[in-house]
Amino acid sequence: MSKAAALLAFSAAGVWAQVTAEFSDPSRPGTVRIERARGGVTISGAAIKNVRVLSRNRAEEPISIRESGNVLTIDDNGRGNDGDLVLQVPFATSAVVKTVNSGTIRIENLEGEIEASNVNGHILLHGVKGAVVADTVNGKIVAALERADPKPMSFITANGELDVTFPANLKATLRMKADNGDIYTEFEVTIRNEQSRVQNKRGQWRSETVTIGQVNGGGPEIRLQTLNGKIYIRKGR
Amino acid sequence: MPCEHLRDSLADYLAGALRAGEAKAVEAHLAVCEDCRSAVRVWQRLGDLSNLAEETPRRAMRSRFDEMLRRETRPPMRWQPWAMAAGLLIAGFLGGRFAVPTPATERGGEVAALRSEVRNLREAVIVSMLRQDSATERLKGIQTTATLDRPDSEVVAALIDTLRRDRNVNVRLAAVDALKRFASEPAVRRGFTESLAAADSPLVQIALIDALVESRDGQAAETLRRLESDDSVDNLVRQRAQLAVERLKARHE
Repeated sequence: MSKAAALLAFSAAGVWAQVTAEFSDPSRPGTVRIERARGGVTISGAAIKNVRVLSRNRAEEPISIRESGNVLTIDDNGRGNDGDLVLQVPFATSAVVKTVNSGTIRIENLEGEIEASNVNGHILLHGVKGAVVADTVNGKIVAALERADPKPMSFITANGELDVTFPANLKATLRMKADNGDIYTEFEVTIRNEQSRVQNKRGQWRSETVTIGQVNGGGPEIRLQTLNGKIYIRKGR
Repeated sequence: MPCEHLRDSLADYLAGALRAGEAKAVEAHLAVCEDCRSAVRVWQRLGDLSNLAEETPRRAMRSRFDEMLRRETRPPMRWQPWAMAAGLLIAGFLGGRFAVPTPATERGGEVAALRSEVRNLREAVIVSMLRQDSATERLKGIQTTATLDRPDSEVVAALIDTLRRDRNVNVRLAAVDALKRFASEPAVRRGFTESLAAADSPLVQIALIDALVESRDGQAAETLRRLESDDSVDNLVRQRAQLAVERLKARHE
């Protein structure tokens, strides 16, 4: 879509509008980059070549969509509204998503890398295969990874729980910290740092400092950190 | 200088990637050829090179390098600068190093020079990784700094820059942890204090407060007191700041 920028103005309030946006080179995996001040974002991978953008715009604010170098940028220009932005993208797409208020970030069935930032809301990832870097402040992060991409990852929140499922063959070094909560895991974790005060009671840890542990011999570092909340590290298939 | 016909198989031999028969042939040649033996010694002493990535050299590394080369020859692919630096580094060893005959007496010095060359390249690779578009690549750059005992000031400066400016809070938080190792440097503590004044993520704020207390930085008291009395700041962060002021005071009395 080298035709400069497309500007969408949804006229009818409360009505779902759909547009199709194209990557300039659909033969290569593209990236969608979404910036919102308000409202949720849902992205699902599908066997398609283009990107379908579905938006329910209650406040009749314009959303701008532009494409450059296989990066599709969707921006509410800081004005935003509470409606959800829903995208269908090709499986191999990477996603960089940022929202601040009144919305949940949901991403499913995506093979590319995911960078998701929220402030007052949750982050829910399901059936994803790429490396994940996710953060929120007031909200929980629930993520189910279908593949253990051997890359550094990070899941952090201040007020909320982390519930992350990794494949059983995960090879990683976990860096875990729950200042005011417990850490539970289904994985066999070999604790590396002695100074962390760890109580091992039937597969459950409590750490007052950071706890570093290896899963299946260790690997790239995965950070799991929350101030107020519990951490669940589950073993998937 | 190793014999021409072994130039490629020596690399695979050292990586343990040759089939048994091929490895035997290389060993048989090494037994009779001093030049090749000395090349192998230089390579083995440069084993540091393999720490560049988190994995040990395997057949996979070789095929990844081949894959990188293939990708480079396809113009539309976007090239990763750090991967290119690593590729050039490996290509440099495969090619240039053995093209010029070197008297045996100079080899000790050459090894030392190569070591520092590898070190500098690795640091350049890290600095380049910290500027990548992908957050996971930037995290990888930060994690790679842990493999350096004493990174040069350029790496530390790049980490401070990441702490101050990176758009992703996960990456900034990782930068705080990586920089704690160098908290004896005033520039790092200054970076902590200035970032604390500007930070908006409670996790980064608390990590910075803890880092300042650990490094016993008396200069931070003013910033900590301001944070403590700012009612727009998260309550837990304010409590932590108050505790930090008391702990720093106790240490300085």
